[in-house]
Amino acid sequence: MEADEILEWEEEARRLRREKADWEFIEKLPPKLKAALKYYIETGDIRAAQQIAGMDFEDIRELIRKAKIPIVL
Amino acid sequence: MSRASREAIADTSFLVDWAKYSKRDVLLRLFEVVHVPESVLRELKLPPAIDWVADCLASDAFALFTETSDLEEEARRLMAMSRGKPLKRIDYPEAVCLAAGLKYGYVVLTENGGAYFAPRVLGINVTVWRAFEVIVEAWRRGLVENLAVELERYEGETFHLFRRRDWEYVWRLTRS
Repeated sequence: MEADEILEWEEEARRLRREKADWEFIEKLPPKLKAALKYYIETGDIRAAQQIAGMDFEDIRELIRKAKIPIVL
Repeated sequence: MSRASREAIADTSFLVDWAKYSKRDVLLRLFEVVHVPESVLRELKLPPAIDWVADCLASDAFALFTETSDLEEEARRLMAMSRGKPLKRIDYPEAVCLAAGLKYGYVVLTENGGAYFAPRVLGINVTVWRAFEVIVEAWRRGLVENLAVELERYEGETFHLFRRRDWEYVWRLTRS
């Protein structure tokens, strides 16, 4: 797989996450959780977002769902 | 699929979302057994995933996968390989699944970007499926009726979005 194809995939996924996210909900979150979700929207890396939030996997997945951020893969 | 690939190994990202899908048991008809690594099981704590996985382990549809030291070593080698590559990093639970896929020929089930792209980016010979490929395979085997409807159902129930290229592939597949 070419790097260009991965970058195109990343860009499409990032655009969809940004568009669909409930930004009002995200902005009201405590700083740590807000930072984690913003990181997730930009990168799609749930493991790193989990570390930023200091949450278990299922908890960060639920938070992503509540913020209406889609999983795009 | 070959005999070996009648077995799969699932990571946390796959199980947590797949368990929310109302037709989740179609997975049990696609594979003779789905292995669940101990490191993945430790991450599951909420319904519906934990309940469904426990039920499947009880009925032997799923099997607990114990990580041996050589497999752990392979997993850490894959994690190291992924650093500096143009893809999301691979973390330990996903790396264990990839290492098991490599060693035993299991299909790796994931919704993790790093794991999904690993075969192509790292050049490793392992089959990795997302929910998308699982549903397409279920449709090919006549286990689900309407592929597009089923994919839309999965999107709605799990809050996933399939990519434009995936949908283009579906249109080509269903028109042929």
